[in-house]
Amino acid sequence: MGARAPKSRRDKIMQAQGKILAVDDDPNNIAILEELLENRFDLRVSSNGEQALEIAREFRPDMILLDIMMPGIDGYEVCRRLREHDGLKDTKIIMVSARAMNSEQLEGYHAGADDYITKPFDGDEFLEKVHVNLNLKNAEEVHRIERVKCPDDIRRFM
Amino acid sequence: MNTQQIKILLVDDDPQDRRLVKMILAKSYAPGQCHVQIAGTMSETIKCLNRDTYDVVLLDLNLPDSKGIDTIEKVCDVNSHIAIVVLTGLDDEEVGIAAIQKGASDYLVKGKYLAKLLVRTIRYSLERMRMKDELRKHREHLENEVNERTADLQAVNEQLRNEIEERKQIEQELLIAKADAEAANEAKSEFLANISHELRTPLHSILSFASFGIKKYETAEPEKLLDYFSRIKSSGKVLLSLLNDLLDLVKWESRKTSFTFESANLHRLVQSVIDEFDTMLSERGLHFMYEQSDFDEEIVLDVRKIQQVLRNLLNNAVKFSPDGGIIDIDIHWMENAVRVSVRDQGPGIPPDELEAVFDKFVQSSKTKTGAGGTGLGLALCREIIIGHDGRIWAENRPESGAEFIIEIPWSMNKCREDSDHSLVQPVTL
Repeated sequence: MGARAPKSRRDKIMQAQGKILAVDDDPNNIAILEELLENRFDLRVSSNGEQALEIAREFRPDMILLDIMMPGIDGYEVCRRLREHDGLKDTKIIMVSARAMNSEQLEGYHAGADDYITKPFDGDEFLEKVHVNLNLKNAEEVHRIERVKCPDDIRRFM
Repeated sequence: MNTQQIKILLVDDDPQDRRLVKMILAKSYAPGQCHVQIAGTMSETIKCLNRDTYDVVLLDLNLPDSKGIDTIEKVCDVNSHIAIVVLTGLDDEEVGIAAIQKGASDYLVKGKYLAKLLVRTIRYSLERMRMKDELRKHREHLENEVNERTADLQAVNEQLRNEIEERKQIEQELLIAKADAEAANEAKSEFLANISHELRTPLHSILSFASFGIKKYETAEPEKLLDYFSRIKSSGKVLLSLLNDLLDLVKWESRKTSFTFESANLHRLVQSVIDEFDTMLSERGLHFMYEQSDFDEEIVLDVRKIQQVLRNLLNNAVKFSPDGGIIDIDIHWMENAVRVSVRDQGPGIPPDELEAVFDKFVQSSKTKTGAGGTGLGLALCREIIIGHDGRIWAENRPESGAEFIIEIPWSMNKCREDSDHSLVQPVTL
């Protein structure tokens, strides 16, 4: 986090508005995510899976940052249930976990995650990943809307 | 053959016939080469056969106490391996054949040719008997051989069967050992993965808050910086306690932990641990309910380790209690053991996790909170209590909340006290 990102990129991050839901049972981890994201995004936090599912349904976040080891239903299960929800199909789900084994990461992807970040992470790199994924989400959304809008005869060629 | 003495039993009730036969024999054999015993009746014959061995029986079939073919049978009943030459007064072919069928070697008609034929018949009978005997021996030998070989084969078979059985057992044992080794290996991998996770979590806090501090030290409020430092410190503490627990556990697993058993007052021991929690309790408005029981006795235990167990249990109870909650601590003296129980008003433990919470790195899913914990505390408690020959278990209270109970048996104390020198002696696990 020592080196600062170029100003233009930092501005881009500032511009990349979005709604983010952060889920973690560790207060320190929540504090870290708040520190990094609070002033840049519309941030909500939750300390457990059940609550996160409720918030997600009503908050409709663009991105969900999901811890794995949590009381009650774990992050993998939360991810699976989120994916079943129609309104959250485009939502980017990023697993943020101290579980660093390859098999654990793969399990995250299998559960439907878009990305996996291992704790400890570098704050700047983390922000970049958030930014990239949010942009991707926006692009996908635009693409889908255009697809719906364009006439059938053109759609055939897409 | 000539040098061999022939023993003949002459069975005839007619003295004239006996004389005649003896005369023929005396003429035919050299003096001393032939020994003749006379029997006039069947009962005498049987006595003689029972008393002595003979090479040949010259047998008249008609005796005062036995008539006809039966006579042969009676002789055969006593000795079936003896050559029998039947002497008959009648030249009756049928009687002769019947005699041979019954076991006689030959038959001779008393009369003019007797002198000529007797010695030759005796010799042939003896020879036939000898061959029969040899045949019999040979057959017996063969039978023995077959029996021996069969027995050998059976023994080899048995041995092979045993060997197969043994190998099967060894294979079974190897399979079990392999499964054990694989399970141990898997447990180790899981353990390492868990350690990695448990180390990374506080490290993440330390690194992140340190980075925030470095980035914002010029602009941030002093309170903000203080918050960073506090979080760094508490995470460092979590890391340290994790390492301490790990070290304890490693000591345990390498069996290098020793106990120092001594006589101690359990009430004072419990009270001393309770006192450590004073500040923590007032911060959260928690209360310990503990009443000293009327019965009080010195008990032999490792003071430092039992304190560690109690500290762990109270720490858990405090951690999972709602603010303002009450934690009950109880000493219960029983006939064979003493129990210490710690009851909280927390969320309790899911039934299927009641035993697993004592496993390494397992934390109750229900009670895992941001307060952390290494997942090693209860595993250590269990090791310590087992070292006291006791047991530790968890229950859910009907009115919600968890109860942890340790039980240390008296018997162990008795036996340690009995061997007088064992008191302040380290006991290696």
